[in-house]
Amino acid sequence: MKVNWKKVISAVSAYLIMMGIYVAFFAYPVAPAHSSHSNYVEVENKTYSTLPYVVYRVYVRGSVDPGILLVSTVRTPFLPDKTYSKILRSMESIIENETKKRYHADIDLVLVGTKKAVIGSHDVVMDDYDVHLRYLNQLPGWGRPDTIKMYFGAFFCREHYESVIVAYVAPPDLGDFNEVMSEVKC
Amino acid sequence: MDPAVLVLAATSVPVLGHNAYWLYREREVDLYYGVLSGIFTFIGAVLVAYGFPGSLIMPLAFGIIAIGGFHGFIKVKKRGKLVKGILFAALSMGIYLSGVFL
Repeated sequence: MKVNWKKVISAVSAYLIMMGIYVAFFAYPVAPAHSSHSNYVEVENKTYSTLPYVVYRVYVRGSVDPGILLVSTVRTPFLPDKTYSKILRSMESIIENETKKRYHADIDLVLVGTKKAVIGSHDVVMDDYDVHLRYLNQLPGWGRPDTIKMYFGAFFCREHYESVIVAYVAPPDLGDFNEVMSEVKC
Repeated sequence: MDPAVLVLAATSVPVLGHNAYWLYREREVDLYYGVLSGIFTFIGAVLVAYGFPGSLIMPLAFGIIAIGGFHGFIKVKKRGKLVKGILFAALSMGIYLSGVFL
């Protein structure tokens, strides 16, 4: 059997270039999702990785018991399970550290259920955690909460070919969950 | 439209180019599937913004090429066509099951 080597080389080159462009898509910079809530101030804005391209922003509502919002944007043409779990773990550790820093406490997370949120036109089911605080300060301020709430969720922003992960930490009495979620834009 | 869609849609160009060129020269049946796969990739990439599941673009594009390989083998009984069919079927399944590189 005679092999047409020109055709074989052409085919291999074509498919290698195709795969190369596909990988390049994941490295294409994202249009970062953000929060436009006036009470939350951006305190951190970082590029977490470039393959896939991940940017995260941290917003804080200033208070003794602050609200902390993390919005992470991942370049993908869909919301794959592996990306979700891999990036989510990373974002979880970022918001955990931010919570420890802002509350001056060690924390224990307990998953208690899920909570529905509407972010833009996206219906998102968020994991609902109780965060038990162990204050590092010997004399914690009077009336500070022992338990606060943490919510995690993700959705695919198809308009921009990117996935958005949202993590939100706040004392239960702050009560601005829906308001904060509605101000997240991709 | 987000510029990222152009990058994703550009994945179709080398496949379209290769298959269209060799189709012009040889008229083999599997090359028609290659052209179809390229067109599908382009349209699929654009349609993600309208709800088309992006996770299916590459598996389906390679799946179409795999079918072309098997069809070509049935028609001309060349072992290379069978290898092409099996290779692309495996790629298609592999990409679908692995969640695409990530």
